[in-house]
This record gives sequence, C-alpha cells and structure tokens, in this order.
Amino acid sequence: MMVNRLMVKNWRNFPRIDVPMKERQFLVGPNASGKSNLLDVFRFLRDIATTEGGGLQKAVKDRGGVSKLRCLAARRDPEIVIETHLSQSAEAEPEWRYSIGIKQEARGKRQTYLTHERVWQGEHQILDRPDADDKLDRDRLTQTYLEQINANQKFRDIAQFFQSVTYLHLVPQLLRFADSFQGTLENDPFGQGFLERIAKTTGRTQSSRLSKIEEALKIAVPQLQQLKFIRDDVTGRPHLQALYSHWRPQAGWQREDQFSDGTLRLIGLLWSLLEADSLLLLEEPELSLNAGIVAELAPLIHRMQRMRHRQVLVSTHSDALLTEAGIDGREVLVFSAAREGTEVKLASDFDEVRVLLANGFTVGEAVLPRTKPESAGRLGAIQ
Amino acid sequence: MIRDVVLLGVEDALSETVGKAVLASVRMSASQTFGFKGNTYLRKKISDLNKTAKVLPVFLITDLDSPTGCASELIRDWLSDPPEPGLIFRVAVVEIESWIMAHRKALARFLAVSQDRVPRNPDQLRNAKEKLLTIASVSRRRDVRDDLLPARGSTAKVGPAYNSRLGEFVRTEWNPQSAAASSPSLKRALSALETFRDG
Repeated sequence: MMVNRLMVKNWRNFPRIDVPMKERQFLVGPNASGKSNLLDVFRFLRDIATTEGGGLQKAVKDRGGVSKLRCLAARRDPEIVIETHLSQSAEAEPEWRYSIGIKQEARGKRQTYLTHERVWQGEHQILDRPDADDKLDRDRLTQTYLEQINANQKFRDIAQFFQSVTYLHLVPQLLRFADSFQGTLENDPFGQGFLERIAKTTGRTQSSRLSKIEEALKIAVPQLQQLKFIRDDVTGRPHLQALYSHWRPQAGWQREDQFSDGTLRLIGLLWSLLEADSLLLLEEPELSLNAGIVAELAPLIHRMQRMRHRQVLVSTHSDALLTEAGIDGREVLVFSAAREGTEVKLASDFDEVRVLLANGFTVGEAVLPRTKPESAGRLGAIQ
Repeated sequence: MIRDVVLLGVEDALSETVGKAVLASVRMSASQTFGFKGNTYLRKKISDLNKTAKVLPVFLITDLDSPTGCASELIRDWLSDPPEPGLIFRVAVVEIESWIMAHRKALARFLAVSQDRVPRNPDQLRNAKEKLLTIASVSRRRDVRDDLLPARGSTAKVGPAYNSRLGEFVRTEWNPQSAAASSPSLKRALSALETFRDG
C-alpha cells in the first residue's frame, strides 16, 4: 500500500498542502522550508498508530504540544488537519482515506482533543467521529480509534500501514559510537541500533540482503572486497566487517567503527530499501556520498522498489541526485517559502518547469535553481 | 507570450547577478535561472534552450572569451537552427567583467583605486578578468586584495571570494545604464531586451 495523496491544514510551517504522491517522491526546497516537517506528518501518524507506548497524546506531547505543531499563520483557525489517501498504486483510486483534526482546549487542562476522526473504505465512510458516545463523554476525544486495537478492527490495514512507516537519517557517528551512548531513541531514527536491526533479521534473508549490499559496495567503495556480519565472541555485540584489498593481506578486515561515513550511510540506505514494503522516509541520502554515486541513487531506488514495492519519500538538496533523465516532474515536490508559511507544489505545476522538462532538461536543471534563496550570493560576502 | 519575464541562462553566479541587474534596469525580471556550470554546459544545452524559447523567453548571457572573435559568429557557431525570436542571446565582449568594469566610477570607488586605472573601453581588452585583477592588486584596501586576488602560487585564477565580492558590487553599486555608456556590447544587450519587451 502507498500514500497517493496528502492533505494537510496548519501543520507546522504549512498553512495548507494538497498534493498527489508517487511511489518515489523527492522533496526539494531551501533550508528550513519544511522538508523534514512534511516527513514528520508520517512519523506523527506512525506515533499515533503505535499501540504500544504510542497514541495521540504522546505523539503530540513528544512534539512539544499543539502550539508547537500548529502553523504560525493559523491565527483564526487553530485546527490542525491531516488527511491521507492510501491505495495500491499512484494511479489507483484510494482504498482507504483517513482524516483527523486536532485542537487544544482553550482553557482548563488545555488538553489535546480530536475535532474529527474519519475513515472511508473506498467511497464508503466507516467512521465518523465525534459520534454519539463522544458527545456524552468528551474525554473519549483525547484518543483516536486508530491507536486502539478494540476500535480500529474495521480499518486495521491503515493502522498497520502507519505503524510500519520507517524514517532514516543515519548519523554515522552515532552508529560508530553506539556503545558510548545509553539507550537509543524511539524507532531509532538516526541508526544507532542499526546493527541490532541486522542482527534480528534471520538466516537467509539476512545473508541475501548483505550480499546485495556487498555487491553495491564493491562498486561504490574502491578496494572493498567483502562484507560480513559477525557477533563479537566476548561481548556478543553485532558487528559488520569489511575486507579491503590491502598491501598487507592479513590487515584488511575492518569493523564498522572504521568504515567511512559514506560507506556506513550507503549500507544503511541499501538495507532500508531492502528491509520492508512499507513507507520509507529518507532524509538527504546524498550526504557523505561521492557525486558519481549520488547520481545513481534515483535509479537505484527505482530498481529496489520493483522488488519490494516500497514507497520512498526523499528529501534532498542534491543536483547530482536530481540530474537523472528518468525523474518525472510529478515525482518532485517543490517547497517555496512564502509570507504565511511554506507552499508545496509539484514541480510539474510550474509552467516554466514544464516547458523546460518538455524541451530536454532534467528535473535538477529545471527545478533546483528555483529552490536557491534569492539572496544566497550574499552569504559569501559576509564580513 | 509574456514578454517581461524571462528564463535567465548564465555561466556562473556572477553572471547571474549581472543578468538580474540588467533585466531590472529595463523593468524586466527572471522567473528562473539556469546554468552555473560554465560555458561548455550552456553550449551543450543551446538547442534545448532555443526550443524552450518558443514558449518562454530566454535571456542567455555568455562570454566571448576571445578578443579577436565576433559575437554574431559565436552565435552561429553554437546554434545550428535559426534562433527563435524568444531567444535573447547576448555575448559579453569580451567577458562579463568588461560589463562590470564599464561602470568606471562606481568600480573605482568599490575597489578603492583611482578612476584613471579603470579602462575606458573595456570591450576592447584582451583579457578583462586579468585586467580587473590587476586593478584590484593596487587597491588601497587590504580586504579587497585579499578577497579578489589568488594567493601567491595558487592554482586558482581568482581569489577566494572573487565572485561573491564582485557580486556584492553588482548588487549594490553597479548601474547597467551608466555602464552601457562605456560598453557597446552591454548597450546592445539593453536595447535588445527593450526591443523584445516592447514586442
């Protein structure tokens, strides 16, 4: 299943968004235009749908409360609304629609409550809250049905879809020094527990994924010959080992703490693409990678999708990544900062971009210059 | 076709700043910019840009780069098809620095040098960038020299903040109309834009 349309009102720096989505969707825009905030919509839905230690109240609280989530431009209308359409493919009619509205009580305990929670299966609406029970007992509106196993029976598919959303922004330093930090963050967004994730994957699945990754690394990392997963004999901790061709043949094996940032990030990226068939959120996958490798990321994601049908949302600043002739203008969301918050549009919605794409230019050429801040040139002239 | 908003094609960030100032001075603007990968890249893309110009006006600035060359020959050399009316292809003779230097008074003040040092006919220089660096080398201001000139033994042709400092000049001091008085190629560019704008 995939998200084929996202509608948002008053979410963080977006007064309104209404965009269709493809299997592969790139997010481009200037710094602080809200690319990560858009990805956070899906992490938010995941946090709500998580039955164990999740739920609406926690998802809101973890983000600092409704006042932090609500768009600053939302002065008169303080309601946050998120609606997603889920389908089997980008072109198909939605199988499911899920919509919630959230507000905070103006006085008293200032609790977060639902203004609505609605579910449609196809054309048929199967949930419409507030319902009669909610009107008798307002406290019920502090929880979604989505987070309750007893209540989400009829739309369990949606709950499961959101639960399995994965976010990856692998920070090599955290992985390398995982032992030095106590505990990991929930859902491990920065890849600290990445090795544990590999360790939990069993037998043939693990080795087939690792051999694919090894194949890719041999191309991307000069001198790397072999990749192996091991457990330390003494501590029992999981490790990755790589063999490099080396002038001292026995000195070639290195553990992940000696891998380069780029190698670690590439391993994390490939593993995530192979890991599941749920929505994957990738934050700037180009970081630390050679431009020649980055240029291959878009087709790589596409080919991996053929195997796993995994929808991937990718935030990026990279010219090299987007200068790939096969990227469709409808696969790119352009973020532009306006007075009242950020606007999000498909690249193909801009007349100029459409003309350029039609005349042989790539998305990188036609779109990225739009995302450059007007005053960028002044940065180099700061005294 | 909208005639006062164009797609601006340039070799680098400095030419972009110049292009925007030139457009603004004739009450036009750029909806989008394109290029930034030097001269060979624009040349590679020229026929696509020409096709684009059927629907969307394109203002393309490139350097002649050779004092003996001829601007109209360069255009014929680049483009096998006849140029679309929407393609405003202008060649800075001899480089974008010629256009910048053409506003003599402002540049002299910005670089802190005597105005006599700035050439009167920048279009006729053999190498405008080199000339500009020579002028900067006698600047009374150390930070100007430091930003614009390459360090001794450097393999770079220009200093570490060359484009951004000159860009600052173009944004804040440079006036295309004043510069056009000393640079015929800039003057022709301005009138080509005006002619196009007025359809």
